[in-house]
Amino acid sequence: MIVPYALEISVVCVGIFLLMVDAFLKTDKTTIAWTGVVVLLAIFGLTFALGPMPKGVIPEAFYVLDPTALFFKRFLLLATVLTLILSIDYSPVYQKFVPAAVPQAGLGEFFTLPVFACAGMMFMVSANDFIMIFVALELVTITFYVLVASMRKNQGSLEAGVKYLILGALSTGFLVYGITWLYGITGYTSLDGIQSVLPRVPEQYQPSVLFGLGLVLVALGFKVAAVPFQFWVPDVYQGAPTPVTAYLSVASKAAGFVVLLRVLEPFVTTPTFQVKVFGILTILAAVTLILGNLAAMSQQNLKRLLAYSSIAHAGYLLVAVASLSAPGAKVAIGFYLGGYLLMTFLAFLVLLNVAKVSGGDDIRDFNGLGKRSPVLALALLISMLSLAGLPFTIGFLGKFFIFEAALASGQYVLVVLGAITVACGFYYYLKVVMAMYWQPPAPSATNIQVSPFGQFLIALLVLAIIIFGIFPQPILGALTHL
Amino acid sequence: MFAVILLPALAVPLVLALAPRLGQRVGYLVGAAPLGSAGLLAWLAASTGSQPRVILEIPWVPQLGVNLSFLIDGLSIFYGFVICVIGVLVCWYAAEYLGRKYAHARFYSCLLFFMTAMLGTVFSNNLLLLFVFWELTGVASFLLIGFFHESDESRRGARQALLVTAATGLCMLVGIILLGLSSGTYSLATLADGSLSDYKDGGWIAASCVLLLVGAFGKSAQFPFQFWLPGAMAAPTPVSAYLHSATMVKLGVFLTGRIFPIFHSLDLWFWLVCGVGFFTMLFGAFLALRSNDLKAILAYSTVSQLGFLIGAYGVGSKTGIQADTLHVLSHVLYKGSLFMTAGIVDHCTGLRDVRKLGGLGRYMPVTAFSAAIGVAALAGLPLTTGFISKELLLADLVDARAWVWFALVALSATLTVAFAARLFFNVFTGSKPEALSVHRPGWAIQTPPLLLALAALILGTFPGLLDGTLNAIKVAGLHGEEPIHLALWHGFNLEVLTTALIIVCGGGLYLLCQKSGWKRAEIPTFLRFDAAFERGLDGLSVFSKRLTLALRADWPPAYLPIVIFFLLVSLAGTVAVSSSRFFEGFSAIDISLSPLHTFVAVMIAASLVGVIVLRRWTTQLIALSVAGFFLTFYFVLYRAPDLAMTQILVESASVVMILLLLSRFPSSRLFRSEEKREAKGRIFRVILSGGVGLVMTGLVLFADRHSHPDPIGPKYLELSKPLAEGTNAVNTILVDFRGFDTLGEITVLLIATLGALGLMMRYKRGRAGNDPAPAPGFFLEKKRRP
Repeated sequence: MIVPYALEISVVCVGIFLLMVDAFLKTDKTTIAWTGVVVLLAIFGLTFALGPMPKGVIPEAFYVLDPTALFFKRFLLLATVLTLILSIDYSPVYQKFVPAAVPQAGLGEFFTLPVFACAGMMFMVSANDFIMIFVALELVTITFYVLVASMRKNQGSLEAGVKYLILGALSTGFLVYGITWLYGITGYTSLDGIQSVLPRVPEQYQPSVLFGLGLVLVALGFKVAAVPFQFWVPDVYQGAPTPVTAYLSVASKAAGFVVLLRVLEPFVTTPTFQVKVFGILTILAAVTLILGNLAAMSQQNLKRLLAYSSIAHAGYLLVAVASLSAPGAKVAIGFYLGGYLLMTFLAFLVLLNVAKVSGGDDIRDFNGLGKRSPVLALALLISMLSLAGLPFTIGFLGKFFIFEAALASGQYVLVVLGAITVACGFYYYLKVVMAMYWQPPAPSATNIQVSPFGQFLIALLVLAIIIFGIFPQPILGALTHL
Repeated sequence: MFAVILLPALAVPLVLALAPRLGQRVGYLVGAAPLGSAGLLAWLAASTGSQPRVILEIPWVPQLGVNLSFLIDGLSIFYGFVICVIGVLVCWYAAEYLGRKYAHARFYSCLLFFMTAMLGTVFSNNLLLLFVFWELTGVASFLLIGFFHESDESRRGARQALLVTAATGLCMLVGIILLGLSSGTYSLATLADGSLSDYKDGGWIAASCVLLLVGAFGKSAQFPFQFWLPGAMAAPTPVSAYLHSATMVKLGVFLTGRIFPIFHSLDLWFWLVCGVGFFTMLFGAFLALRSNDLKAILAYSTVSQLGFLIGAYGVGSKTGIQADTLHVLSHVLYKGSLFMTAGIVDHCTGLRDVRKLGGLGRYMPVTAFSAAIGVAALAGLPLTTGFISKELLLADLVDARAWVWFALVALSATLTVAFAARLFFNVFTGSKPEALSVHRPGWAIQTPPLLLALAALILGTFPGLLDGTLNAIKVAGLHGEEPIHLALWHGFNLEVLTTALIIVCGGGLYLLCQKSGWKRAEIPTFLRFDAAFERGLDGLSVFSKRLTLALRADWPPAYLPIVIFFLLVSLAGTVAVSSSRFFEGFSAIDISLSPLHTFVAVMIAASLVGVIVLRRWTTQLIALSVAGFFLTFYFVLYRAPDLAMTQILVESASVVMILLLLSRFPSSRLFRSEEKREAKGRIFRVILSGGVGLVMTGLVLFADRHSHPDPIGPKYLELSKPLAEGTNAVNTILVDFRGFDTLGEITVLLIATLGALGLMMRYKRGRAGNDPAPAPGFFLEKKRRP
């Protein structure tokens, strides 16, 4: 009998092992990252040997291994692998900003910490109890504090770290306080328990349940970057090392959404709370859509633009969350996040390679990229088109599923807003495309060489975006049991 | 089927490979692709000739019920042929038109990509598939309009076209999904056979009809979206001739025809389609009359004619439309030829301004001949297809007794005659201006427009030739049952009289304008929708910048107010909407105070006031910790010794930590900064803090009111002796019942201390070597705020 959380345990063990290698073996530090990549891929393979388990089978009530959890564990493992590969590419830049007592100082931690964050997020997507959610969330967030601030000679990175720490601590406070209220009313910290009690909550306690849930939503709003809890996002995304930014915007957001879904489950299935909760979610989704997209339109820095676009995408996902009453909403969220993983990592991969040579990540640094490096330009083009939601890319299908779910559950206002903001999205994503192809390169700009492995990875991501954009069955198949 | 659609796209790699070698001549090679498609299509049409409708289906996304489903019927075959045949001519023309310096590979790849997208659109049976191809045509058009991306005008035109068509396309998608949800299918064939009354949610059917039409109007540049089409004229002329007159802009017409069988029973259909169509017809003609650029005149006239084509679908009686394909065919023939001749004029003179042209007929008689036929057809003179088509529409209007539309059409036709006359006479006849230098065009470039013009002439003279074809491509549900018979002369009736009147009045208008020297030929500012659109975009950009700046909080002290403000608002909202019983309990609160509790509370309040008033950080910190220790006392008063214990530990540890940190600060930083906060901000903060205080008070009272049904305290007391063998409950709680908690707390404290110690020592050591980095300032902010 396999322990249900064997996957997480093995990931933690990998992390510890890598730390030990870093501490005691005098190898080239990039081997640590490569080892991590290989082992995590092996664990990714193992997940297929492990089927979903029904609730009764697992003795620990705080842990579930349903298809959602399994899908997102694979998702997170892949995201971590991609982050590690990005980190290897990024290591020359990273080393410039770390006080170097010895060569490659700090690289070991930089490569190992994502593995621990991955374990934390894998716990998050399986957590079925507020205590478990809290512990897993803290494991992730604390790891991210370190990762974000890890370029200690770069003021941007330090600033981002400080801000993330302050905001993270604040949101944790909200989470704990909210949990306290929910526990106080229902007497349970487990979501199953809360679900069983909720229909019987007497009327005079209902406002306090909503208050508690509201506090929890604030905390989760911070994690998934929903407006009005988004203000840390641009600064942190811009300041953090690029691979960490990608990791934050994909994995952390995905895990946050899974937790959000789990936490909301008891509330949206209870008739007395359903309407109010959906009301709150609709407002959140609407303001997130509007602000994320509008603010992205005026950005001049690609990393910052991607930060705002990540808020905008959180908005689309929230539209699906607000449409949870439709049967397809969960599949839509899973699919959207899957597509988001591919296109975001592709964008950051290109950004990283360009910034390494140009020294900056403003949009004007991408001027004439079509001439300087056709491969990178094509990759960024595909990524931007997919983020904008053009047909035949995975981004289009993601948006399509979400809008379909929203229409099916009667969220017409959100669909109208969504259609308008998608048009805004075309505007700012195309700004990048136009800079790449229609602006002459700066006179000092040099051509950019990409390593063969980098080219391979880019090709892989581009193909995945297009192939899954045309034949989405593989992902949908993995999601149909949600 | 797939071969028909994919052939152009499959030719792209070949073109990319051969373009550098063949240069300009690659256009002829490219023409082979649509030719091949046309051939295949002919074979396909012949093999399915007997059946009215064939559906090819391949599963695609079964979970969604979306299949790669293609519908082969008269309408799609007709449009398929138009796309392919005009495609061949345009490639031929482009091969001669494009100079050597063009990026041929890029141009033809985009063109081929566009053809595939177009063919995909017209053959789609599934509405979602149709949408996908539809948007792809928009992208191809974007790339082709922006072909001269060095010029600002091109970029602006490309952006406008894309934003307008993509945005209206999204409306269409919403309409499609609504239709799919209410009817349960996305298949056009099934929808055309069904009846609206079988679908659920009547209201949403009308909404989806409007949204689908918005998509069609956007693509076909109907009012109020007409402005993008003239902007799109920045594209090379072959593109204008192909995309922006012959094919892509016809998609809106096509879609209107496709959804006609679904929606024509709605009352709204007649008013919306006719209203927008015929109004656009008049508006476009008016704008064309007031333009001076050859291509702009043609663009506005296209807008006007598209209005005519779309409006025709509104007039159709409930039994069906008669001659929509004839209208489209006629427009394709003469407008394609006119665009090509305009391109030749531009090519040979370098000018497109009608005011500066003249007398070109001597230099290019063939072109002038093509232009003459094209213009005649545009004006609807007899012996051209334009005449036949206009007669039929007028007859329809008379039948439908739609006199308002009749008047609109007649009026715009009059305007059309005037600017059509200007197009021909002011360019090809008269005397050549001195400044104008002309070189003669070659034969090859003049042939494609000539072919189109001849077709318009022959079919216009012997319209009976078309009878068989038009009857063969009839589509059930769209077209009427009775066979079409076209003839030049139907006898003397109202239509003929009107046409004669139109021609006379139009000619008169032309002479009048000619006399006044076209002084008013300038589009008034308030009708410049494109400028308004650009201003709107700029405004949006500025607005978004302002919004971002206003809502940006990149200064940590600003974070908390935002969050708290949101919480207060949402909380107040929740309380306001939830039951009033929330307040009921408060009236019964026992407000008798014990002296000890009161004393502690007052002390806490006093020390907090100290925090606000004091200016030195160390003293502030001490005041804060005083408050903390009094809080501990509160725990004691409430008989929670373990909590009190933890609180004391945490308080002391954090005070020591912060004091240690402060001792490392430069002495200049030990005071709170002097800068005066503005009064408004201060008031906001006071209100906010007051609000938080109120909320917390309310929460405490609320929580206090409801005692836990099963408190844990008595149990500890009860079990202290039998289980833990201790008489001191505090001890047993800390060491026995919560032993692990205590252990954990101790461990955490220890680790934190070790970490802090490590940091402190490291810092000391490092001081000698390298300067410590400055305190994390907020440099991003500084950089952004000059």
